[in-house]
Amino acid sequence: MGSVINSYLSSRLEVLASRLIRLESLPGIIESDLEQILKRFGCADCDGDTDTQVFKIHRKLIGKALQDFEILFRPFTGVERDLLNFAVHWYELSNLKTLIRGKFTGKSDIAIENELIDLESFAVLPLNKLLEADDPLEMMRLLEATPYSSIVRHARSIYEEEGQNLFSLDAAIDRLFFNGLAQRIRFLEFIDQQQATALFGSFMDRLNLLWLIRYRFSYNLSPAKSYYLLATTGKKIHSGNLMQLAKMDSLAELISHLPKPLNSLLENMSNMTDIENIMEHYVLSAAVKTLKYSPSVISRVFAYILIRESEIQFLHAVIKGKYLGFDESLIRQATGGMQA
Amino acid sequence: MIDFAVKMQHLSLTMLRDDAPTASIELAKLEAVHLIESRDEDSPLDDMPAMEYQQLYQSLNSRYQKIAHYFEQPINSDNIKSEAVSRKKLENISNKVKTIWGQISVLEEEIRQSKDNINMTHQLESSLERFRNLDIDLGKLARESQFIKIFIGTIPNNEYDQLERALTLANTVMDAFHQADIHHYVTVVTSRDQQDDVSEILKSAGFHEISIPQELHQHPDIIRRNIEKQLSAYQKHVDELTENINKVISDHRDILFETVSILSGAKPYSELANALSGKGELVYLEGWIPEDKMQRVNQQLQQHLHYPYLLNFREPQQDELLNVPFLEKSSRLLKPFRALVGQYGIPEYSEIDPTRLFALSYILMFGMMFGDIGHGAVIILAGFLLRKKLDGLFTFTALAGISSMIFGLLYGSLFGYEHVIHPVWMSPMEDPSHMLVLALYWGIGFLVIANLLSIYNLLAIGQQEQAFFSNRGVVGLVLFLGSVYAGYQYMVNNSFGISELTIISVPLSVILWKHWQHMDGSIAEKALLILIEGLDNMINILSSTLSFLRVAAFSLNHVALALAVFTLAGMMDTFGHIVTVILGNIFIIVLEGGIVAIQCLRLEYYEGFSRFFSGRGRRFKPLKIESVL
Repeated sequence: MGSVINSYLSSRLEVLASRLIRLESLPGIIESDLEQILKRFGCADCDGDTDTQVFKIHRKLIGKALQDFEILFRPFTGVERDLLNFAVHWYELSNLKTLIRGKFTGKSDIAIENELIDLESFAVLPLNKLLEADDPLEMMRLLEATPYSSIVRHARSIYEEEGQNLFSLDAAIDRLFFNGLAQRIRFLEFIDQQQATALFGSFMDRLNLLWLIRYRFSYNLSPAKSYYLLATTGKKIHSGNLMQLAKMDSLAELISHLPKPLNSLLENMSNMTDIENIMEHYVLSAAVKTLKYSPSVISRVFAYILIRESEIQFLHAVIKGKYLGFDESLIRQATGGMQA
Repeated sequence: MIDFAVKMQHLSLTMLRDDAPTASIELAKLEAVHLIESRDEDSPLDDMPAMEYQQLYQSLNSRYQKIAHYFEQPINSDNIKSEAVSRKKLENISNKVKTIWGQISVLEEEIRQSKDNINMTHQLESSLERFRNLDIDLGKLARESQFIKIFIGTIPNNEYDQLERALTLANTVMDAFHQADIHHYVTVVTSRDQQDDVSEILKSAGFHEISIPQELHQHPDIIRRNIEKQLSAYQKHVDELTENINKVISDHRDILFETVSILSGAKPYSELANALSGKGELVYLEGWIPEDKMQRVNQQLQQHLHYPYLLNFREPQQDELLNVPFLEKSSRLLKPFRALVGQYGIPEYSEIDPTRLFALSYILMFGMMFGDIGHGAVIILAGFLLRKKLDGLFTFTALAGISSMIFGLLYGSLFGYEHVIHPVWMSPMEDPSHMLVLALYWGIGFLVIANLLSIYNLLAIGQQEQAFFSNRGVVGLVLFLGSVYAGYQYMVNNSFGISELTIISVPLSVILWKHWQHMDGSIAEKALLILIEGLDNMINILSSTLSFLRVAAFSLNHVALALAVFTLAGMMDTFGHIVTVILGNIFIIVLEGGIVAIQCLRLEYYEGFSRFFSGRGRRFKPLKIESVL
């Protein structure tokens, strides 16, 4: 990438990064009225019942983020552009999960549509066509003609055996995505690849650890099945670690076998929310560091996407909490990762 | 010569809800109303009474289209009458079509399964070969064991590594005995107590079990025959299922025919849904209507609505002008040129329609740049022969060809021969400098007209300040004419004095001063921007005017290319000469003709449209009855 484009992107990133919510203003947001928050983040016009409003706001926040991503992505070409576009397909996969879940559980088309995110130029799935399908089998036949055909067989086997949980389909979709992302990072030039891999690795550490704990101790899955459902390896927790961790019989044992510094970060923790918050902070620290200091522009863009996504999740949680009338301490606890 | 949009009036119609479907049909028949979809949020009529109807229509249409995909012959829509469709009627037919699609969908799913089976059988066929690679006794594999469970099958290639590692955690061994394009063929060996866990993991990995074929013990010919038999059985089943789908369709042809008629009738009211607001039994809609159709609409509604209604018309207000749709006066001759203008944008309602001017200047420039009697005739002939393939192409090529022929006559050019006929005026090569000067005059005239149109358009959309003081306004025109005058004085009389400097600097200063007033930032920042702006204005005037030199350049180029062809032909024998002249002329028509067409378009878009035409208008799209076929 030329130095002019690099400078342009750096300036763009500076501007966009300066608009991110500052850490010190997070408590203030939690303490604000719902109306003030909605006004500040341009969602004052969202109407409907609570669920619809929360979905609308979430979609609006994502829509705004996508507009910014589009501006950032424009100067990239080739493998870099491919990587960034693929990263944004995360939202499309979220639509796919909503669609499959909705159709499998017999939700109305309008209810499903309300939960879908409008991806505009990033969209690949023919959402309207899929929504118009009269039953899940028809939807899966239509899905076979899309780039997501590889998950259809899996989805079909879940549909045919009603006893199976949909989380395993979610896990398969996630795995498909993260493996695809890791593969695309490998195509980057050396410095970009090194920096992006480190950031992506931290992200995967968090994801794999949290899912492993859930699979093993909440869903009581076997070590083999738990390990199989996890995605690619991370920065600190490599494949070998994951295999070993999957065999642990208790949370304390699992934490004690974690590589440094994760073992000390999570020492004596038994509450899932606390672990989630610490791991969220672990990823965000890496992302903020990358965004500020990385010599690789694409890694900085990637870091910006991660932070922006966390910001969306934070606002979503705060707004939802406010709508449901939760008190501030509960909201603070639920959004602890961003504030930790 | 100058056209304006067809005069529009704002229409508002208040009626009883029961009359709305009939009103939609009658308005659609007249194709007279462009609906306004945005509604006032604070209006007391805040219900959207036709929304459910629209959803019903959309789901019926979607199912019908899915069924129509299987039609061997389309339904004949000639006798279909479009009548208002009640919600109940729409619901009834929707339920029927849903049942029909349900039957077809089940058959479709069976076809998919059968096709899957066909694929699997093909896989089995190739796996027979693979099993030969397994260095074990297959008989043993086939037998159930008390302690060990063996799975044989395929898994997608991308799952292999992760699955292999996961299975080691279940004390299970996986071995690949063949790797195909998308699959690994694997054997998985596990203990009986791990069987359920392993089976579940394999399922998650998209494992497809292959039963060990008994055929392995048989003669290869028998195996092949059995597989072929199986494949033809599956194929026969697919054919039967397809036949069954056709039967379902033919059994319900009457319903499907009725569906087409109902969909045509329901479409206008469904389209109305986004524009129709209401409260209780009262509904309200707004739209834009061509002035000459107002009376007809009133008559039609009077004739067909059952209850009283309130129909109002009024002139568009100033703040609405941007939203009033643009409807051009119809002209068959201008149709292809309208499409080219449309590529740039749609004029705003108050703006001048540039199509006629565009057509005239385009045709003239094409002739000037590509003047040749023979080539013009060929263009006309080609357009005539291809007229059925491209709608409107013949009019376009005929006009371009005629222009080319007229200028060919003026230049004395016939298929590149410059001395066969005597030029009515002169050959471009006779005096290239004169040609270039004429092109400059043409460009100046073109730009002055563009500037005048811009002034008119700016006044029409209420931007008085821009109309007078911007570079697209009166002062901009003065600056342009002043620059032309100063340029002329400098080039012809070699003088550039106070009067020339004044005539440029005064209008330029006015433009820049207006810019300065609207700028934010420090004085230094503003000064720098103004300096750049001033330079840009002057460079723009120079480059735009010089841009028209290409009109002459291409007329010279045309002669030069022909000369090159004749020079080449001159080196050949008689046969070679004829072939070279023919091929050379084809080359000139296709290549140079294409380039000239594009260059003319470039001049129109960048030197013309960009000066006076916003292209931000919206096209008049009336509610109308359309077939769903």
